Amino acid sequence: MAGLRKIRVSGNGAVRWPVVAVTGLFLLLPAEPVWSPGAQSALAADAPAKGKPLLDEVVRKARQEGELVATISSSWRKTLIQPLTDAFRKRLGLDVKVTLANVESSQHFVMAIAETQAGAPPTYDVVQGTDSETMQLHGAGGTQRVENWEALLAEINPLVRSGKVRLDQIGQGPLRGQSFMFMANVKQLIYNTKLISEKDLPRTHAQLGDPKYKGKFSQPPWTTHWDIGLAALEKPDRNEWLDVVRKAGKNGGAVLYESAGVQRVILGEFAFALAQDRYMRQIFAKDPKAPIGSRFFDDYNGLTGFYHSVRTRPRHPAAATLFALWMTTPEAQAIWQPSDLQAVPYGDSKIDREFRLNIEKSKARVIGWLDNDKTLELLKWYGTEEGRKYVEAMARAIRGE
Amino acid sequence: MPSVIPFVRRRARIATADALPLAFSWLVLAVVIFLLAFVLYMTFVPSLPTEPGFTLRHWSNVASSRLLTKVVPNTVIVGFGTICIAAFFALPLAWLLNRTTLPLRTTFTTMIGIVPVIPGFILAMGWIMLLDERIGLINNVAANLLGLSSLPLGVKDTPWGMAWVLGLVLTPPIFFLVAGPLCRIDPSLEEVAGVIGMKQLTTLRRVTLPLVWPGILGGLIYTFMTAVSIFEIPALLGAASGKVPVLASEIFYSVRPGGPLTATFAYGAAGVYGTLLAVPSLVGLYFYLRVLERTERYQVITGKGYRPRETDLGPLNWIGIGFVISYLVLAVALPLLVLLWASLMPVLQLPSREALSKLSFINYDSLLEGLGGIAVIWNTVVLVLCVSLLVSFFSFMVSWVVVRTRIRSRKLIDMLVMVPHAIPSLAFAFALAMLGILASRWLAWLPLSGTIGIIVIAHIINRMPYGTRVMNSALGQVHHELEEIAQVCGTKTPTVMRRIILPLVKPSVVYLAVWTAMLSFQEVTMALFLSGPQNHVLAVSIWELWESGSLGTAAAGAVAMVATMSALMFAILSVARGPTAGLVGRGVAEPPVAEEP
Repeated sequence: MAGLRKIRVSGNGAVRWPVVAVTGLFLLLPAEPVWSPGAQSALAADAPAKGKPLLDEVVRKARQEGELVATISSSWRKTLIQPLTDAFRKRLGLDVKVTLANVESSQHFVMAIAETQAGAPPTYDVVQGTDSETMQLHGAGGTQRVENWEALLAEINPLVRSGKVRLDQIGQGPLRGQSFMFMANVKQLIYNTKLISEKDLPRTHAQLGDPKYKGKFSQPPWTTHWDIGLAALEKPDRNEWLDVVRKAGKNGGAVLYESAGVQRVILGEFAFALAQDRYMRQIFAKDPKAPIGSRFFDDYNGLTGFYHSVRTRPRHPAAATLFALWMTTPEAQAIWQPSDLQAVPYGDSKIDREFRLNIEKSKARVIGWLDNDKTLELLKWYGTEEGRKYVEAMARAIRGE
Repeated sequence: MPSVIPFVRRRARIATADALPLAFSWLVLAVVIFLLAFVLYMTFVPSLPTEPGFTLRHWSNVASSRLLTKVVPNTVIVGFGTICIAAFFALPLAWLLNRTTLPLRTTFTTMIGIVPVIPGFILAMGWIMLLDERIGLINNVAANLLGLSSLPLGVKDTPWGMAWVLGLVLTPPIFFLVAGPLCRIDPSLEEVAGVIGMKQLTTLRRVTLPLVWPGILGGLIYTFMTAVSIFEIPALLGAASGKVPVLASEIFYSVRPGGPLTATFAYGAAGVYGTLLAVPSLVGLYFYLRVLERTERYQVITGKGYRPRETDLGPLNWIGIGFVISYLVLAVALPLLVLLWASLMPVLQLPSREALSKLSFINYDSLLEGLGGIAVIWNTVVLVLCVSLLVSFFSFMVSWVVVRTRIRSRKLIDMLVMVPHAIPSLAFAFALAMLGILASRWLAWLPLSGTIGIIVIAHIINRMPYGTRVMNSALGQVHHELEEIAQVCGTKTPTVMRRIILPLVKPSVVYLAVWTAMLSFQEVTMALFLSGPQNHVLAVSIWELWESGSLGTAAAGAVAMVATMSALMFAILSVARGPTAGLVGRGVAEPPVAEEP
């Protein structure tokens, strides 16, 4: 919130809808320079010449720093820490002390913002968090831009170097050059196949308020399934949308963390839960016969991207830069993905291909906070006093108030 | 005149002698006051204390109609329901396992000590699996037997269900608080009652219970405050969905109204609710202090030696054993079975033939590495030992000032030390984290932020209310004549504490140390909030596993945790008082002066 207040666009915090509508037309135009295949190839050809000496210089500095302290997702197994450390050091020829810690980003980012505001040195050189959290930290001045990130990324990440992945797939919107996406998940419905058939599931978020679903589903207490909905609507009316949330909240069986909700769907207590795609993969990996299935909503499905950011005034900036960029590589992905099972939207693994194929086949409308100006405007608005109250009202509506 | 001088000197000497415990008390209270002030300050800050601004929003938000019509009534039901259930089990258990000849007391007492190690979310899940209207095993079996579709019996979406589960969880604190004083009661008092013709039950009601009343009252206040501040169990049983909102869920969601993944946070709201919670707690404390004012009524340990009397229940032994076992089945065996079941299932499912075919030890593969390896175990051991020892030490010092001195500020000290229990641990953790950040900015040499030390401080502050309740009731039972005799002989206060009082209250100190260790071992909220790159502890690792969807591995970790803690507890208590008396209960209760004259 602190950060978002600083990146507020309009003076009074209110968004004028005609402006938004006009802005919507510009959605067709990319906000960032177009990375055409030709341009990408040029970058790829240019990268070895420019990138190698730059990378060598950063590596030299990282060696001098001698240490790196970074966060990794709290959902990642601790058994990943050593392989990630070893692979990172080996790939970049670093003999530095690496400390990776599982950190609950939602709690740490508050501290990170406070550290920045107090002028205290950051606890971690690199932090990972969701797009909305990273935007807060960015707005509070808690992230540091990586100089020559394009050339460095092309040098470190073979997918970028070969032109298979565009730079704007890794560094998007306001976070370009500041934060680097390394994984993502999509919200959807996870249901118990013994209790409800796919055709009986609600098609849109509004249908969650239908009396026939009374007490049959669980949803998480946070607003991420709903808040981005305003950006997906053709003619968004905030009060109407709040009513939709309220009806769904009153109709729900429980408000639970996504993991707990999915567990209780498997137990048969609830027919379906609003959750992220990762849980499906995790459950099938453990029990291929588990009685569950998943389905996207027809109206929209929120995408949450996860980013690594170098903190402002880090103790080890060069090592931090290398780690944030290296975490986007297939090499790093090959270590964490088999156990965490989250997808990399630009990745080339089986999970990543299936992730894209599922979305493509189902024609699901997937929408993320950094997708376009409209979503960014909405995210900024949620940082205003009016937006904050709206989020609070939405959260209360989810809990049936 | 000559008689006055020694008296004045003696007063002065006693005052000097009190300086040491007083200094230690104020040391810990200084931290408490600072954190309380910070939490209160946060209630007027829009979001982060590092930002400018002043707001009354956190206070005005609380004044909703829902608070009075739903939240407060539900919280009252949950709070009082919990203490009714906990007291229903704890008081008879304390008597049965400390004042009777019931067999297997060692084992039973150790098993009661296991309860706090079982994660609350497992217990709640277990009761849902047993009693849910749709999937509950007990409900389904009973409904089949009665030919009904389902039974209207459940723990979900009702404050009584929450009170039931919380009552089972919070039985041990009352048990441990009462057990210490109970086994120190001079049997001659009960014998006199017998001589004048009182029946055993009447003696229990009119002599024994009143003598341990400070312990019971302290336990009830503590349990009430704990019950209304626990979030995870009510959340899983319906508080989060808004059907049965309670204060704990209101606190949780007012801090992060949009949930943990959104941009809004308001830690000041936790302070507002903490202040509101502190009011009834302080009222309860007022009555508690009034009871303590007449300490001499509860002083049962005098200079005369005695051996605690044990009641032989005779044929009623079986009823006693049945009662103990029924509690252990409900609070230990059932959740442990659920825990074990969850740890052996790849994905948690209800017991069935199909599910049985899926049982495996896959969740136990590389468990130690999965939990963070030796570093996490080491951090946990350091945390548990430090908190356990320091809480025992500081509680003894504070209680000494409160119970054994006439210092004017003693009531204030006792109230202040109790207040942290009313403040949500999240708010305290946040205040400490802020302190750590400021320290890293201005006192870079002070290793606070991200260290195990900051978690130790948080736990000490959080456990002091319980610690002082235990020590107050224990010290309140020791007659002043013992230390007066020592002082007349020229013994200094530290020696009196160490050589006379401490051995007499050793059972309570051991109770407190073990219990504090258990609570620190399983605490998540503060440890999670204050975790840094080097201070991860086991409970946080298990929570992260559960939260990320790995319930099976989390359950396997919890099974390992329960097994380790049970073994450790048994070992510590055995070492403390010999193998046969290796219990938290009566073995350690034999005072060193308990020789028949």
